[in-house]
Amino acid sequence: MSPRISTVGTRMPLVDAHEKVSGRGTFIEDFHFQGMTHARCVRSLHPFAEVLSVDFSDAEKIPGFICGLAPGEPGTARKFGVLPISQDETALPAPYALYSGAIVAAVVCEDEISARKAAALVKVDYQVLKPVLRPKDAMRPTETPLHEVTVGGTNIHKVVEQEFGEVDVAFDGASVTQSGEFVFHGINHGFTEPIGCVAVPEPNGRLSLYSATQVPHYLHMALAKVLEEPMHRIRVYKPLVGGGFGGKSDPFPHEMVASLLARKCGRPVRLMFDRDEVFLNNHGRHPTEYKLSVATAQDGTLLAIDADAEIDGGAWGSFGVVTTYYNGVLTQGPYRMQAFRYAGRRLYTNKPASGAMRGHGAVNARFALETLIDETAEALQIDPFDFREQNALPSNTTTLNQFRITSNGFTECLTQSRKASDWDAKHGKLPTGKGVGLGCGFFISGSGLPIHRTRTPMSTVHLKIDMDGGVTIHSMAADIGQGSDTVLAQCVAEAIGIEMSRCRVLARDSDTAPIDLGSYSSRVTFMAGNAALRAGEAIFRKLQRACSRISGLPAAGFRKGAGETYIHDDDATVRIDFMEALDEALAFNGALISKGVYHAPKLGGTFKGAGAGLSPSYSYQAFVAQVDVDTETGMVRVEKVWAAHDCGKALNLTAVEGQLEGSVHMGIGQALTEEMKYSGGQLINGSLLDYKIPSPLETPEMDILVVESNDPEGPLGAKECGEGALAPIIPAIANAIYDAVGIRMREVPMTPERVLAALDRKAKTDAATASNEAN
Amino acid sequence: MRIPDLQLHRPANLTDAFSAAQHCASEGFDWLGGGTDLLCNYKWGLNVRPHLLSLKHIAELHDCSPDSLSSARTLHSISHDGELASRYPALVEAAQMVASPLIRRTATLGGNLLLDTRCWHFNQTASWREAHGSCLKAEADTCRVVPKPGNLCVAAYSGDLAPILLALDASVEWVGPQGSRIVSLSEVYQEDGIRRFRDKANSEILTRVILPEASETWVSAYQKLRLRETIDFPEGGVAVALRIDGGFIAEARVATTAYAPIPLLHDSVAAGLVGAPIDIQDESWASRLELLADQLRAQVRPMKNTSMSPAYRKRMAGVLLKRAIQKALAR
Amino acid sequence: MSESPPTTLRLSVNGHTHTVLARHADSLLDVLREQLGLTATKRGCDLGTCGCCLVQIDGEPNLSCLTLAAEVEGQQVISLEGLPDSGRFTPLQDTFAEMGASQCGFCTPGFLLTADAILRDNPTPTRDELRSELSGNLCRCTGFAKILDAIERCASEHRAFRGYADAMRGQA
Repeated sequence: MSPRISTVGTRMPLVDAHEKVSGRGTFIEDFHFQGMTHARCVRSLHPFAEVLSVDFSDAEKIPGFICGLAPGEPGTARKFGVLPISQDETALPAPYALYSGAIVAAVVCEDEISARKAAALVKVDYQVLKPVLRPKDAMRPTETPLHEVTVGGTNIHKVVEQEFGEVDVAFDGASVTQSGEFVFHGINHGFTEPIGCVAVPEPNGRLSLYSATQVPHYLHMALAKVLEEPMHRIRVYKPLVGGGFGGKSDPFPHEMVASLLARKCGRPVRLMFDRDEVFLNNHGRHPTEYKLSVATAQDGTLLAIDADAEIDGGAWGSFGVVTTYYNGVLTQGPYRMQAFRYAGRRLYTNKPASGAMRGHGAVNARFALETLIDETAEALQIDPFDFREQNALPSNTTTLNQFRITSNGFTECLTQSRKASDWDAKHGKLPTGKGVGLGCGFFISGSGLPIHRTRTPMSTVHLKIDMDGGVTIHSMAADIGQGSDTVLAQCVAEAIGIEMSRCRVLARDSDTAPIDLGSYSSRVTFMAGNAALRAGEAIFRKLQRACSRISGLPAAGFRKGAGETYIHDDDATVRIDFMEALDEALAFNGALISKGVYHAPKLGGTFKGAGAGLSPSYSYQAFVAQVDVDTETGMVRVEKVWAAHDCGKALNLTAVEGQLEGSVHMGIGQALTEEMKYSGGQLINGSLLDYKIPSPLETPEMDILVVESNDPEGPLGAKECGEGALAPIIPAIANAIYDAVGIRMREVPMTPERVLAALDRKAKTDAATASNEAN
Repeated sequence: MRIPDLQLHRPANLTDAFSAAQHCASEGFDWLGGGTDLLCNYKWGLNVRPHLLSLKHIAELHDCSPDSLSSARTLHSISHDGELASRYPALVEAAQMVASPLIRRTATLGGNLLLDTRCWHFNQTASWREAHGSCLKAEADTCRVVPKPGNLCVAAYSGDLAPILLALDASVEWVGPQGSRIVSLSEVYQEDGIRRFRDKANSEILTRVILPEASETWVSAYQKLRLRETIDFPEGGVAVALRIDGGFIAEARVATTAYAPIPLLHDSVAAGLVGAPIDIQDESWASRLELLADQLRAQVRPMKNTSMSPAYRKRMAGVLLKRAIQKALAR
Repeated sequence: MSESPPTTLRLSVNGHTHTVLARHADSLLDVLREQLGLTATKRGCDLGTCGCCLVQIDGEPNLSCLTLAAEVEGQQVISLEGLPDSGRFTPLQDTFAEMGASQCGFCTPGFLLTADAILRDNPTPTRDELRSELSGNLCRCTGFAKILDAIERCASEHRAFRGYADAMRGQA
C-alpha cells in the first residue's frame, strides 16, 4: 500500500478561484438587504478645525432623507483604534476635524442619489485652526495638540530610543563609514476594491456589520466599545475582500458611522466610498525622513548601524507605535552586527492618517540600509553579494535585540539570485544606462505578540465532519485575496489525509468562527495554518482510533495512504477508506469536531520595546533588478527582476509565486511612480489616474526563486511570503540605477525628475573633479 | 460616483441634432462623443449641463470617405488602421498613445481634438474644490495657478492627436445649422482654457478631419511625455512633420501639446529645420538639435498644474523635439 | 438644473431583454449593478482607469462606468454573467482559476472580458502585445504575471477559442 502523496509544494488553484472567475463571489458592494438605505459622509473642508455645528435643515428637504449623524450624538465621540495604546480615533469629530477630508457628519437616504444630494446640502460651521502639516512643526509644544496624549505638549505621538552594543566605539574603530539622509514620500495601498460596509440591525436587536476588512476581530472589539454593546450582540461579517495590503487593517470611523446610523434609523445602511475617499482614508505608508550611518571594518565585517527615523503619522495613531519600532528593529536581519542604535519619532499632523502597509515599517529603513551597504561594498571593493554573504546572520541564533532566529535561507537566496541573474557577468559590466542592483530583506512571519494583552490564542480553528464526508473549517483568518482560506484547507487536508475538495472554509462570520487576530503582519499561514494543522491532526487521531476498532490493530500505527485511505505499519494488507473510518467514528457519536490553536512561544528580551518585531520565524530575500536609465529624461525602466525569497516551505507554489510577484509590482510602484501628493493639507492626486500604480507595461518579467528552509515551527515548514518581498526590490532598483549611471538616489519614489536632478549633480561634480585634475 | 441628473438626447441625423441643440440652447447642453473625458468631469460635478446630445447615432458621422476621417471614429479603430498607418504612421502612433486600450475603444477622434483642458485645481471632486477653493474654470472667479485678476484660464490642453494633425496641416469640418465650413486645425483653438475655441458656435459639430494628400516626401513623428506608458495624459508632447527634398529638409512644421491651453505650432523652430540634411549622422546636426531644443524650451510655458513640474516639462520639450526629429528622419 | 424623472429603458443584457426604470444620467455600470443585480461587473475607480467595470457591447470591450445606460438601448450588452451555460466555465475562466491569475478577484471580471476580446482579435498574441493590450486594466495583487501566463496558455491550448459574443450568437 502506498503512502499518501502530499500536496505540499504542488500547484493548486485558490479554493475560491471559481467563485471569483465566475463573478459570483460577493464583495461588499454586492450585498443588498431588504429595506437597505444609503449613507454618505460629509467631509471636512479644513485640515484642522473645530466643528461648531452641523445643520441638516436643507438636507432634510431632499425627498428620501431619513436622518443624519452629527458630532455630539451618542457614540460619535467614543474613542477607538487598532492599538490599545493609541485609542485616539472617533467616529466623528470630538470636536476637532483633524484633516481635510475627515468625516464630520453623515446622512442616510432611501437611495444613493438622494444621499449624495443631501450630503452636499449639510451645512457645517467650523472654527478654523492653524494646522500642523510638517513633521518638523509637530515637534514644537503647542496650545492645541491634536490628541490628549502626546509627548510633552507637542504633537509627537511616539518616541523610541534603543541601543545595543557599543555603537560609538564601533564607529570610532570602523574603516569605512557610510551615511545618508533619505526621504520617502507617503504611498497608498491602491487596492482595486473601494472601502465600504453595510450595517444591518437584526430583528432580534443585534447588529450585523458587513465590512471589507482584514481584521474582523479587532473591528468587532472596536464596535463593541463604540456602540457600548457586549460583543455577542454584534456580528461582523467579512465578505470577499478586493485587496487589503494593510489598508483595511484598522477599525475605521466609517464602520462606526454606518453602525451608529443603522441603530439610529433601524434599517440596513450601506456606506460605500468613492475612490477619492479611499485615498482620504489612507492609512498608507508613512512619509519618512530616515538618517542612517553604517560602520564597517576593513575586512568587510559589518560593525554597527546608527539610525534615526522621523515618520509622519497624520491625524491618528493607527498602527503607528508599531511602525515607529519597526523602522528600527527590522534592520536587525539578515545581517549580523555588533552594535545598533535607533531613534524614532512619529508625529501627528493634520493629514490623512498613515498606518500599516505591506512590509509595514520595514520598507523605508530597508532602502536606506541596502543602498548604504551597496556603497560600503563599493568602497571596500567587495562584490555586493560577497559582502552580504560575509555578514549574513546564521540559522539558529539570536540578534542583538534578542530576536530568535531559527530557519534561515538567506545565503541560499543570495546564491540563487546571483546565479539566475548572471550577476557576475553583469554587475559593473553593462553598457552605460543599463545596470543591475541587489537588494535584500528580512521580515516577520507573524507578530509574536497579540495587539491586545490576552490569553486567547492568536489563532483558533474549528473543524466539523459529518456523514457527508465534507470538512467544514471555521476560522476568522481574513482572506483578502492572498489565499488564506486555501492555506487552511490544505493544512486540514494534509493533516487528515484527504482531498482538499472535501474542505469548505467558513471564515467570514464572527457568529460561527473562533477568534483569529486577522490578516496583518504576515501571520496567517504561520499561525492560522498551524491551528488548522492541529485541528486536522485531532480529527486524524479520532479516525486512527476508528480504524483500530475496525481492524483490531493499534491506532497509533495508522498512517495516511494514497487515495484517501489509512494504512497500517504492521499489516500491509489493511487499507481502510476514509469514508469507512469516518462512518465508524461517527457511530453513536455524531459529527466529529475538533479544535486547533496557535499561540506564539515566549520570545525576546525584557527591555522596553522588546516585543516589537518578535516573530516565531522570519523570512529572507535577495532580489536583483536590471534597469535601463534614460539619461536625457531620467526615466527608469525595470527590465527584469530575479526574486529569491525564503518562505520556509512553499505549500502552494502558485500562491507563493503570486504573492512574490504582487510584492515586486507594488515595490516598483513605490520605487518609481507612486506618491501621495499634498498641497497644504490637501491631497491632490486621489484618483487612480493621478496616483500612478504601475500598469502591465511598467511591470517587468520576474524570475521567482522560491527558497525553502523548512521552518521547524511553521505549518508543514512554511513561513510568510506576502510582505517581506516588497522591500528589497526598491533598493535593488536604486543600486541598479547606480550601476547604470553612477548616481545614488536618496528620495523615493525615484521619479524621472529626481533621477535627472541627481544626474545633473553628478555631471557638476564630475566636471569639478575633472577641472581640479586638470589643474 | 453618480452623474448628476440630466437629459440625454439621441438624434439620428444632423437635422435632428441641430433641432435638439436649438431646443436645449437656453438651458445648456454638451455634445457627447465617446464620453470618456466628459463623463469623468460630470461625475465630479464639473460644468454639468442639463442636456447631453449624443453624437453616437448621427448617421452622417458614420459615412466613410477616403480623403477624410470621421470625427466619430474611435481611437481604437484609428490605432488599428493599417491603411492609414501606411500613409500617416505618426498619426496612428499618436492614437496608440492616447490613454489606455480600453478608453481608446470608446474615445473618438473628435473628442480627442476637442478634449477639455486639464488642471489639478480643476479636475477634482466637488468637495475637494470646496475645500481648496474652486477656480475660474469651475465655480469661482479666481485662477488658482496664476491668481491675477483678469487672467485667462491656463489649464493645459492635453490631447495627443492635435499636435500631429497640426504638423500634418490637417483641417476640420464644422457643420452647424447654418451649413458647413472647413477650417485649418491651426485656426480652431483659442488660448483660453475655458473658451477654448475660436468662432465656434455651440451648435456646431466637428464632423470630419481632412488630411492633405499623403506624400512620400513628408515624414513625421510624435513624442509624448508621461510617467506610465499607458493611461496618462501627456505632460508634454511634440510632433514634427518634415518635407524632404533632395536630401535636405525643405519644409517643416513643429507642434506641441500640454504646454498651454491650446496645442501650438512653433513656426520659428520649424524654420530652423529647413535646409538641414536628412542624414541625422551629419555633424551639423548635433549643435542644430541642441539649438532647436533650447529654442522650443524657450517657447513653451508649462504651468504648475499637472503631475510633473513645469521646469522638467520645459526641459523635456527639447528632448521630445530631438527625438521626434530623429524618429521622423529615420522613417 | 432640470430634474429628469427616470425613464424606461429596454436593455439587452446577456441575451435577455430587461425593462428598467433609470435616470438618463445613470451609467451602464449603475444599472447593471443596482437595477439588474448583475454584480460581476465591478466599480473600481469609476473613472475609466482601472478596467474593473468592463463589459462587452456588441462584442466590443467597453468601460461600463463611462457609458450611459440610455446610450446602449438596441445593443447587446454582455457581462461576465453572460455565459452560454451558467454551470460551466470558459477556458479563460478555468485557466485564470487554475493558474492563480485571480487573487482577490476584484479586477478579474474586467481582465477576463478584456482577454476574451484580445484573443478574438489576435488568437496568438505575443507577451508584449498582451502587456500592451492589457494596459487599461489594473491589478494590484498579481503583478500581472499569472494573468499574462493564463492568457498565453489559453491562446496556445485553445486556438479555437470562442468569445462570449460568439457563444451568444451561437446560442441565439
